Amino acid sequence: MGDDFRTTKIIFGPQHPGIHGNFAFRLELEGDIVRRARVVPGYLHRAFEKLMEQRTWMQNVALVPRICVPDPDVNEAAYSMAIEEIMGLEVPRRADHIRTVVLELSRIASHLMGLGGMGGAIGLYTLPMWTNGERDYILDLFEQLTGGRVYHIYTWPGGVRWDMPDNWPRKVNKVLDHIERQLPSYWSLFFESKVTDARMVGLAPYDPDWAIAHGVTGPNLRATGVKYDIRKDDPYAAYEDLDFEIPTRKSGDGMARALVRWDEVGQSIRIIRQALEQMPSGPYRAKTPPPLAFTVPPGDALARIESSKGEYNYYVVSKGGKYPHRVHVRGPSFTHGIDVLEQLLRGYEISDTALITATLDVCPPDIDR
Amino acid sequence: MGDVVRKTIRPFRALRFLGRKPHTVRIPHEQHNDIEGEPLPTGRYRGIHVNDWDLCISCGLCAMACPCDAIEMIEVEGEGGKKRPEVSYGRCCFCGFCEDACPKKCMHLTSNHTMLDTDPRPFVFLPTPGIREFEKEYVVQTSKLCLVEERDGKKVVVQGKPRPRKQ
Amino acid sequence: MVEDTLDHTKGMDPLKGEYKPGTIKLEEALVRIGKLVPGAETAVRRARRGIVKVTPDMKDLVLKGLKEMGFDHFVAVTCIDWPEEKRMELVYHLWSYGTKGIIMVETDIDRDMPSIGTAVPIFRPAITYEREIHEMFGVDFPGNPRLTQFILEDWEGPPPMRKDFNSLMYSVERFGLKIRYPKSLPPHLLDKGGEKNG
Repeated sequence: MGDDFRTTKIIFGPQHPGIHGNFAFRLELEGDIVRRARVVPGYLHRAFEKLMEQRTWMQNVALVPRICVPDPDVNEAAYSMAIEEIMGLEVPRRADHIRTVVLELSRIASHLMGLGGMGGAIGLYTLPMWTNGERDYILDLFEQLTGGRVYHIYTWPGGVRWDMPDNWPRKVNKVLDHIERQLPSYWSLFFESKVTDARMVGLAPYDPDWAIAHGVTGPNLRATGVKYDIRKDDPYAAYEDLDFEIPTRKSGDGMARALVRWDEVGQSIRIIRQALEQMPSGPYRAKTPPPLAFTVPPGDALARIESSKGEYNYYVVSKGGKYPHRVHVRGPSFTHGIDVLEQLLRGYEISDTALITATLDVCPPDIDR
Repeated sequence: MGDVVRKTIRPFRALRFLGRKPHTVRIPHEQHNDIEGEPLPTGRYRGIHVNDWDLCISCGLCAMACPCDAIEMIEVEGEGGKKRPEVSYGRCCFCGFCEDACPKKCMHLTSNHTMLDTDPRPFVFLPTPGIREFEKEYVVQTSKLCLVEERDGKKVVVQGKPRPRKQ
Repeated sequence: MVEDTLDHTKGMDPLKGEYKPGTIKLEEALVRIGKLVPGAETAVRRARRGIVKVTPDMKDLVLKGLKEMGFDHFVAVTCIDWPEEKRMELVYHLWSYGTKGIIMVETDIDRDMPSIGTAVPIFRPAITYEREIHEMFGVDFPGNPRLTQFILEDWEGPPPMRKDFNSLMYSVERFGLKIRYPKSLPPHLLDKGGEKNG
């Protein structure tokens, strides 16, 4: 080939400060510009889908949140929803509202971490320090409700595991007030800075048709103007009773993706306050078979949840019996992190590689499972 | 022009944080509190196991419920043929299913979570109520945990008291 | 919440195109597919979930037909191994933004020489899913340009997600893993083969 001396091949390896999770790239650079990118996944492969076939239905609830670190409740909720659909279980309304509060708190924590990741990729390390500090208050709330800070093991088929403590809604409102007081500081630090504008406006834009043809979902799709959210179009948990909006932006570039996530934090705070006000009384669990003899009739179901990164799907197939036959986990980064990313990185400099990955909010554990 | 001034000057407002108390909590020198000042972790925290051998009927349901195969029922010398659960912290994921499965409510997960030792052997131990003595301190002493060893074909308690001291 | 009064789009080209979703109803779409494709069985599972079962040679016709009706979001493709029935099942999940419904397209392929045409010319996201199914189940997709190694590096064993691959026994034989609590392990993990019964 004529240009073998013009391009340099490097491996932008899994241990690098700009990389999220464990995720490597093989880049062909011409000077500073990326000409061809190939993603190397597989550093976090723990074989969850095979492991889930060897544990009973209830034991899998302890295994499932470990698939995604920033947003673990989505996995538990989707797994439980799929089993409830096959069995025809009706979840009590109180459990639905508690699940909604937990999912939205997890979304705020994940967006804070995502915005911090974008700040870190630019070099503004103040922002991840601040946002991870605020995330700590949310993790304290989770510890008071579920017993664990990151892996909750709280949502299971039939409802939730324990009831809310009596003083918990008051603490949640205090934490949300605190976060709302800090938001103007983040805005003026990150979004009002000329450096952020220069780095992120016009970074890797795409059209809505290209996005849908390549399987882009979640905030990345809403940044192009397509008003689509599973919470409104295919509702689950208590979202039908709650009043909220779906923020969209028009430009489809890196700055639009960051702004959509920023807007969603505000909407999540609104949803949590409403759900806590409207919390119905009643049981927090439905009657289920005993966990050590839990059988599910034959059938299959697809459960879909809007996570903070995109669309999360769980396809569960049951053959009858105590063990699942097949559980397929589809994370949002499966489409964002491989095909879309390899096409978007072309033509940008090597220092933008980590930033484009951060604006797409690629989560490598979703890809490898 | 106003745009440039604003976007260059505004971020300097972050300098006011230089005068504030740091967000970091220096555990264990400081106490970790939640947003209202109440101490953490709470009683719901899933930490180190305790098991009351007087209530335990050695049914083995904790071992069957464990998703990680961390619990094995061991026949201990001097317990009249009853088997006691032995937990391995190399495998435990602290889900709490053993506590939920126990029919006599003798297996619990306390809110203690720090156990330090350079020797790996104490991390496979038999939960006993003795750990409750350390709930107020920060670190659980591994020298007080109940360990068994095989001597002449029988499992003998070599360290720790299975039943707490009578007050 | 802070109001966004800044103009972040200065200097950018406007986006091309606005997305216009299709508006057909789910039951109507299933009826049309039933007429279009010979031998297709359709069913409505519940609100917003429909199923179409076809033979493998009709798969391209069904996927193209559904895409033209507005089911243009490719959610996933799943492979399920049924060793007793000697088949592998592929399920394509498609979602439509206008109809707001999922249609699952199910096909069965042979288990000993599994192979089916690729869906990449119709739906581009299928490229990564087929790559993963090729690696984990051993299914061949002629026409897919990227059937390269995906997650498993230096893998010499059989396709690991198949039911006749016992991961515990593979670790014992290949790496000399010592099983710590052999007596307390449930019997299904010590069997050859992975079929579990209730």
